[in-house]
Amino acid sequence: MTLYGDFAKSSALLSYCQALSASALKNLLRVSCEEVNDRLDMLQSILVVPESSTAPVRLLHLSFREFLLDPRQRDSNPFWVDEKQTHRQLAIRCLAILKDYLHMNICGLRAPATLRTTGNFHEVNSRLPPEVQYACLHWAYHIYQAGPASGLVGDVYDFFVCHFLHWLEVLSLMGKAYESLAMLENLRTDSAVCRHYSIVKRS
Amino acid sequence: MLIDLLRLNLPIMNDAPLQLYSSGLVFAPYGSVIRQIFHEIIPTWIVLRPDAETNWDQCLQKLEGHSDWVNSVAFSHDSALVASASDDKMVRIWHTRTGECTHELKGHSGSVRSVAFSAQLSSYSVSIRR
Repeated sequence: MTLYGDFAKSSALLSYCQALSASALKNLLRVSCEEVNDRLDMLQSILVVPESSTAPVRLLHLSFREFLLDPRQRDSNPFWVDEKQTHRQLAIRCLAILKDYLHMNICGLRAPATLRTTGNFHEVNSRLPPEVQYACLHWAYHIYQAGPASGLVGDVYDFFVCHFLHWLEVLSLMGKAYESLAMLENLRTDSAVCRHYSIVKRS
Repeated sequence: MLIDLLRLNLPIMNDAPLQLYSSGLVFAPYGSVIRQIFHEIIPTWIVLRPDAETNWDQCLQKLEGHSDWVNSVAFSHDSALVASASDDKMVRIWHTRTGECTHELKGHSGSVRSVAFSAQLSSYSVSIRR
């Protein structure tokens, strides 16, 4: 039940951000192929599970997400999802993936002046699997949703000092450079979060 | 702040991602957090480095794109957008917050002297005078 519950919880929150395929879910949540397929089989009544493991898995009804997350149902719903806690777990997973994956010049571009628009789109996608692209785009959202009491200050600091530029490089390769600003500003808007993340606040 | 580095370098990063490590870092002020943390990865092939500032200055963003003199700028009524009119015969629309150029309005046959937003937030007008 625990793994079943964890998988459903993560799927509910992941579907909100961006639907991921079974193979990306396997890599992001760090579970085996067999576990992913078993869980998806069990959840067929609430998830749209495509034949291909690389096509996105989606919630059948968006209302199911509200059903899982409604705080009023906390004591009565056996499937209730602790939203903050799940966001925290997803944030940890995203940062772990990025820590393992990111490095300078991840696509092996030959010259520093190489224009993004001349790059091979398929080359970028093969070097940046869906779970890595997901983590790049949504780690800050999960941190923000996990709240200031999440205890992830150290993880964010470690990520910034090692991989801040690598992360920006990947966002740029994805054509999403401009989204980085909104992501960092989200970390700033919560004043409690801002106090912790002083590396973003102070020059 | 890290956000200062972003605002000033987003156009370059968006065009050529690896410029982040060369021009982004090498022009970052000596006193900036970003330089202090990442100075060791400034490429060694940049032998003669520019004399950078000590700290970030008041310049928030540079809106790069026009190829000739800019004659007029206007903010939208909600300040979310800026329009610029140029001798390069174009009007550009920029997001104020990110500095991203979202539209390039082509079609004028000569210099664009002036641009203004209409009171309706969803539309804008331009004028031209050679």
